[in-house]
Amino acid sequence: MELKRLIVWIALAIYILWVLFPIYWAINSSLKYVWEVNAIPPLWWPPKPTLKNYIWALFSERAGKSLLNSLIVSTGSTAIAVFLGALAGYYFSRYRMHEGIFWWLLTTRMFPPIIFAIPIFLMFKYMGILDTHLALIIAYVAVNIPLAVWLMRGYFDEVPVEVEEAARLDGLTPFKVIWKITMPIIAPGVAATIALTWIFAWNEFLLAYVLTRNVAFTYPVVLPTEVVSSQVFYNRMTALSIVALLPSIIILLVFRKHIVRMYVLR
Amino acid sequence: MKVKVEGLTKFFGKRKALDNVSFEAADRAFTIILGPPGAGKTTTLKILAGLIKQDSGKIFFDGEEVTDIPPERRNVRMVFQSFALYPHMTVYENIAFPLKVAGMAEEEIRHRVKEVAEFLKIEGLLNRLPHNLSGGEMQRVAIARALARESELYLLDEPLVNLDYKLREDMRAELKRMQRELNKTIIYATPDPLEPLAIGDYLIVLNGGKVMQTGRTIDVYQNPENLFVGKYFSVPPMNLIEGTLRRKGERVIFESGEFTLDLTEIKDRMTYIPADVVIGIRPHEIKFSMEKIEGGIRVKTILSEVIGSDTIVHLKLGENLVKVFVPRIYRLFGGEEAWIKIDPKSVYVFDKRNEKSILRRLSRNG
Amino acid sequence: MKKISKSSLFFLPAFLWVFLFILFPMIWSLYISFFKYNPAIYGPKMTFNWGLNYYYILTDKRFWESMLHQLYYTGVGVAVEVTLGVLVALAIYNYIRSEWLKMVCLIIVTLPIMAAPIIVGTIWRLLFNPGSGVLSALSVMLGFGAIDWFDRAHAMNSLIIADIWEWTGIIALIIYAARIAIPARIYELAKTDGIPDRIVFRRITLPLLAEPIGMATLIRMMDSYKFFDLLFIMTRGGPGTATELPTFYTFILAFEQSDFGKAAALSWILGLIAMFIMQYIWGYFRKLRRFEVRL
Repeated sequence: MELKRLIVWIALAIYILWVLFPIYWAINSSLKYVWEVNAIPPLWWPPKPTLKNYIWALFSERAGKSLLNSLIVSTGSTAIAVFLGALAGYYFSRYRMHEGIFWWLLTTRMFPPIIFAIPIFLMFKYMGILDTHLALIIAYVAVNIPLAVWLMRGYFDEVPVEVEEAARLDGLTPFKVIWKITMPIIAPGVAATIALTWIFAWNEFLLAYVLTRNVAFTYPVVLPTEVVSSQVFYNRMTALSIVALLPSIIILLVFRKHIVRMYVLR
Repeated sequence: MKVKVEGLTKFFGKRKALDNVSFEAADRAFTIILGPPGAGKTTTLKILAGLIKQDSGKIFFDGEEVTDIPPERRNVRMVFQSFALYPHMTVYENIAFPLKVAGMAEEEIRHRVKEVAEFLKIEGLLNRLPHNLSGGEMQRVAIARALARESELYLLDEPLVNLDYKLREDMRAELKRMQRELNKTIIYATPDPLEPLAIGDYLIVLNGGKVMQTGRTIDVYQNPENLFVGKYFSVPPMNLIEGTLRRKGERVIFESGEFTLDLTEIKDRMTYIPADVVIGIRPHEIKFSMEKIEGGIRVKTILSEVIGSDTIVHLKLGENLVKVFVPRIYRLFGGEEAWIKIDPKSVYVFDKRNEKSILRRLSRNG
Repeated sequence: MKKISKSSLFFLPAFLWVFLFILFPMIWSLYISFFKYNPAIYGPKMTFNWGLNYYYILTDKRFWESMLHQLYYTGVGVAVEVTLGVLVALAIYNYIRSEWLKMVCLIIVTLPIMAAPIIVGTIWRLLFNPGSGVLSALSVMLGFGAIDWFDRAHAMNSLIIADIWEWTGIIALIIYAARIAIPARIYELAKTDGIPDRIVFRRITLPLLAEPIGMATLIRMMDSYKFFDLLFIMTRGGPGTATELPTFYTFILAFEQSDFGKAAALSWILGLIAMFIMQYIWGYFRKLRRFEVRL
């Protein structure tokens, strides 16, 4: 009995170490000079840790700007997607009409993104908006609306209709009811929807790579381009990666329960 | 405020929830809408409140048509069956909310909420959140919120249905007291026939979206116009026996298998004599005894249900199962011999074809 | 009629946006797939092609190889992820007493999910760096000799390892949540009935977890189809085309060979396969759902 417990603990510990190791190695590398990154034998900690990679990641023309672009595009597209998604989610929750459209919106997530990345590229090229923040925001809103609608509808479903009716009789107009009663009740859900939608935009690569080049590039686009050149600046890349990881980690910590909800209740 | 409803019809998809519903609710009276689940009670109340739009029909408050006035301006207060308290607000905030929306001053609000809370005996709960309240407490908070802001019409949708039996009895009396003190028009929906009998002035019986009968509660009780009202508005439900009605010279006889009943005494109240009828007798209007009754009918018992200090005796009358309500305790196992006597004056007769009563109204007082 | 159009304002913007920028492009892509359209070589001219693109794809060895790679990657990857995820979830649930420690473990386990796949790829590319990467060094130290993680023999598996690292956590999370949802009463009853642990696991826990496990497997399988970022930054489909997956091949066709017609055709073939499989498995699940556990 005790042996079994010990084995499981050791196995679990090994697994957890396996999960943590790459993160540790990334942090480790991000504090090194370029020649220390792949030194043999491996350097488990830089002899003289330096922050210059982080300075590059945050302030350079390329990396710093990419983080800024990512911020603009993620925040902008999330604001629009959640707003429109909340409206649609409210509709599908209260008026059981046009359910077909709701399911249809969900099926768009089934297809590999490449299937619309190609025509969107051609479309935006024709419209002349390639390599702009606008292009990415438009694309991200389109991709994220189905998720936002689905999540918000679930949260709206939790507010009984009679509570909204009571608010009407108390003197509120329909819009005020949603704003002053319904939304505050599901505030945590709205926050979770915003957070999750934002993360998806923040982490997105394919559309960003296809639709941007030198002006509106987001940080995922910078990472592989540092690889292709003959000098591979892993120290910089890991620094940028760690910086980009921070929002994800924070959101994970704050919204654990809602993440489960999203995946479990498909 | 007088409420008048004309020809309300409402469809939910293909289902006709209300079919040409018309009625009046007298000013400052306690009017009850009685009906089984699905009859359309909640739909009617919500249409009166403006929360649901009817497909056709008109609503008048004191003679003025209000059909196009949205709920937030109709000045109607409602207590919902599910209570519908704001889950993220305290009891105080729930009750104060309509007052805040109306623009009342902070001081005034505090005074009013305290007043209403004392009236409903919930002063101690003001800082609690709804999920920390019991069913009875939630219901009183819901009523408090409805009463907080003055209005001319109060709608209550099955407010007692979520309460346990004892609490329900207490609250019933409370509601009657409240109505008297408030002196406003109240329309109250319930599936429980006990409630109109206990506290309603006027009654509207609804079934399947149709109005079955309206009138003063006592009137409806004494003069059910159709089979449904007869059976439903009776506690325990009315005994219904199918059979034939026949003239035999000067007499009118009801027959059902071996069971016959001489109904000559009420012949004058019959508007016509259909061949196939259903007669209705209320369980406590049958005289019962284990000893021979003069002029009575011999029956065989089936079993007895003892409830408190009363008994409902099941017995066979011809081919029919009949229940008798007796105000004492009998423990019977079936097969015993007993006697009943039925007073023709307490018998209701319905034409089997259209289920309508063939008797003229009795305009008795009291 | 008036009422419908007023409330339609609620869902119309969302619907229109998705229609304009997802649905319409998809349909246009279908249209393009029937044309020879290769701007780099033939200029902006589009010539009607009678479905030749589809023929080219379906007779393309490279395509079928990529499908094979996909099957291998999905099969092995999902199988390992699900197994590992279930084991980890149950290990945390059953073998860790302290609530706080459980929370910490869960957070660590789900960390990789939240990372951008491109970041995961970057980090693992560093780890796997042939020659002087830390994993290569480790394998030498442990006596396995110098492994080139990105050569023909190892590249696919290296990708799978990175993928497993990234996604096992979501399976663990789903199973953990499902395990919590099982009422404790069942286990109390089993205990009073004196049923040994192993049988409890096999006859009670596993069947009750069957549906979440199934869902999680399905979700991962559908997601594995879209796999792109890791491929792009770790191997670029290489060496040669040894690790190329269908979606990556589509990308190559469109943005390296500029053959948009063929790329559109391929993306539609993939999309239809996805839809088809989804319908089939979904229907299968619907049938299974008849047996719900109510307590």
